[in-house]
Amino acid sequence: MGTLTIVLPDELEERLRRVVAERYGGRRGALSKLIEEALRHYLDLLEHGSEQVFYAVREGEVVASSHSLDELAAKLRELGVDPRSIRIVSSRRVKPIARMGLRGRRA
Amino acid sequence: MSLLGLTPVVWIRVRNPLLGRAYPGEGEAMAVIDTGYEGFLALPRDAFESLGLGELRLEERLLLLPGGRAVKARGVYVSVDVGGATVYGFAETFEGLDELILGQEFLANFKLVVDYCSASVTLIPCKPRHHGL
Repeated sequence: MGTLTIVLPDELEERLRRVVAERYGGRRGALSKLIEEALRHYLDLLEHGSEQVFYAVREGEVVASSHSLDELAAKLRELGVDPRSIRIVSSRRVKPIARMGLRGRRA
Repeated sequence: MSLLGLTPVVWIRVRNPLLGRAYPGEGEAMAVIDTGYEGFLALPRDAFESLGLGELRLEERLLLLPGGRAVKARGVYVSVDVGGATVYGFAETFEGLDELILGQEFLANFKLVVDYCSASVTLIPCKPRHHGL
């Protein structure tokens, strides 16, 4: 793992720390975790535009990635990685809450 | 692809490429098109388990049902083959579900034509590709 020293405007740093506190509380490594997630997401956008990318993640490390689940499965087989040991994530995140059905409201 | 009564349905094959399993074992299964469902694919517990999806590391989320009730759903990414096209998306299951439901994230990959005059449903891929939402 690399260690980077970066410079941020005060307002952005405050916003970053506030979001980290709200999302992860005071957990150790929370700031690095959020920056890692944000960078992955932004770099995916720069590299692949709006195309979807799937990642196989084991203990926080990406072991393989692909635009296609079939290709990702083939890569995992080549690497000898048990699919049960990894988590599949997508560059398009799953919404934590989704609606199922009509959204009518009483007048 | 057709109408079941007045309900638009399509015939699909769901695959779990990670474990090399498919549902149904042979042929295709009927799935209901539900434009009010924001997700990709919801499927009954037995289909979910026969795909081996329960063996994988799952994500959980809440689904808000029309009556306002929220249910906890578990899911993981799958492949869906439909009419020669393949799209990928998040498949989920929850207690009480007894049919396959295709939602907005699935439909976002297609032009959908529901023609009640001729009782037909047509799905046309947005562009040639083998990956989706």
